[in-house]
Amino acid sequence: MADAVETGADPRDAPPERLGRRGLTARLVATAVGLALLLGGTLVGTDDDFPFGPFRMFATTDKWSAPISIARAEVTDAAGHTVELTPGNSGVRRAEVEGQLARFRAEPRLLTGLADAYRAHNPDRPAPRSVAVVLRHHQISRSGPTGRYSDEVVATWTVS
Amino acid sequence: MDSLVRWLTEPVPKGRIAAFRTVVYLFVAADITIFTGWVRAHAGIPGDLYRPLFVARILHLPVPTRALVLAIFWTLLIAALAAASGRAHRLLGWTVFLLYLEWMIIAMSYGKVDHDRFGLLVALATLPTAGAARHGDRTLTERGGWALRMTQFGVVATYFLAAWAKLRFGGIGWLTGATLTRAVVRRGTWFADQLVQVPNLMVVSQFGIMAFELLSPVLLVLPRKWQLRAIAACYGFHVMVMATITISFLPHQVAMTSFLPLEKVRPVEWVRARSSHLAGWQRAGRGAAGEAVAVAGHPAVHGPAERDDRPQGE
Repeated sequence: MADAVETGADPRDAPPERLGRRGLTARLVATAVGLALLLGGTLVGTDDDFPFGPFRMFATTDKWSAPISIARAEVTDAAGHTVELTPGNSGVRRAEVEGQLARFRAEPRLLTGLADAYRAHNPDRPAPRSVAVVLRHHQISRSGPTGRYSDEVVATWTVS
Repeated sequence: MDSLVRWLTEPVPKGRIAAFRTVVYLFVAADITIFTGWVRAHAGIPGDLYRPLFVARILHLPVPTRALVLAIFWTLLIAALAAASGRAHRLLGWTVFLLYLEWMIIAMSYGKVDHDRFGLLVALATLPTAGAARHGDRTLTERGGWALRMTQFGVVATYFLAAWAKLRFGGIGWLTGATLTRAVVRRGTWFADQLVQVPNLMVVSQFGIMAFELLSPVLLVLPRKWQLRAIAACYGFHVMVMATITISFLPHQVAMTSFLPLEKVRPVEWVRARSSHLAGWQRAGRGAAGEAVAVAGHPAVHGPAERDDRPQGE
């Protein structure tokens, strides 16, 4: 009865519902396939293999000797007013900008997409005249950020 | 082999499946409305920022347009709310699973993949197979047992394989690197900004996280009492992560309720018991606090805790 006590069962309850042979086999096969995909994803997969890709949250190693670089995208209107893009004002997440840095560097024209996203969310605001993706390099020590940083413009695009 | 199969399908009360369904499907509704509302915002992003995942490419899933994203949102919201009732568990369950998977594929196809919802996806994929279940039903079910066990697997895999990924991508140097410091600089709270200044505290924390993740499979085999304590500790870990770098891992935390005796959480019953208890007092005209009162259809009880007079295992 150890099992029954474990699950809060009572002898007066109806008997447990057992799985048939077919149902059991199907579940065991599904378990094995799922496990194989998951292990394969972890061993050789990439993010592209979602949902079976490797669980690589915070998995890269940052060096103490190198600055910590954080990207941001910003749009500037004709009056020179600059707004940083957020999920709230454009649907663009910072990690998404960081995930496409190489593309933006190679093809700055793609930045128009960011300007369009901002415009779609803010039809009443002045239209952006230019878009920029900027990396801020923070210097760090073993006792946290030193407070010193420098900005690097990765890509800019003037909206035509 | 036999004992492994028995363990994989260890029966659970149907009431636990009913409660887990309610929790999971209500979370899906909340998730698409509140927590991943930014997916809807993707509807305004032009198609050329769309970087479809492998699964989207082989299935030839369409480029998400505003109309498509909104259609998925509303259908999924209605289906999830209906599924939370436990009715039509197969039809609604599969509908929610497929639509939520597509929602996630859209979400992850703009250059950033999240890793906090594997357990939830496993729950959504297995709950339609768990059989009909009513709240409070004590009948044991192996179908339900398998669904919960798979979800627990998904939760533990998220921890354990995260350690593996750290060693694969970051190498052993991850332990002594500046990864947590980077996380704090990126999105730290005031609390985290204080902690990060303690020399080497972040490195010590990295050793702790790695040890915790590598040991996580133990969660599956601990004796019940210790398992519940360990799950409480996991929730504590996520509170700490939320308080420092504002990452909630909420879908994972919802999947983790698959370890809990959810069938004992009966808010509707408690409210009912309380109101009929009060009504009983008024009818009896005595109103003496703590006095035993007979409730319709039940023997005399002193409070909600006594409504279930049968022995409880956990």
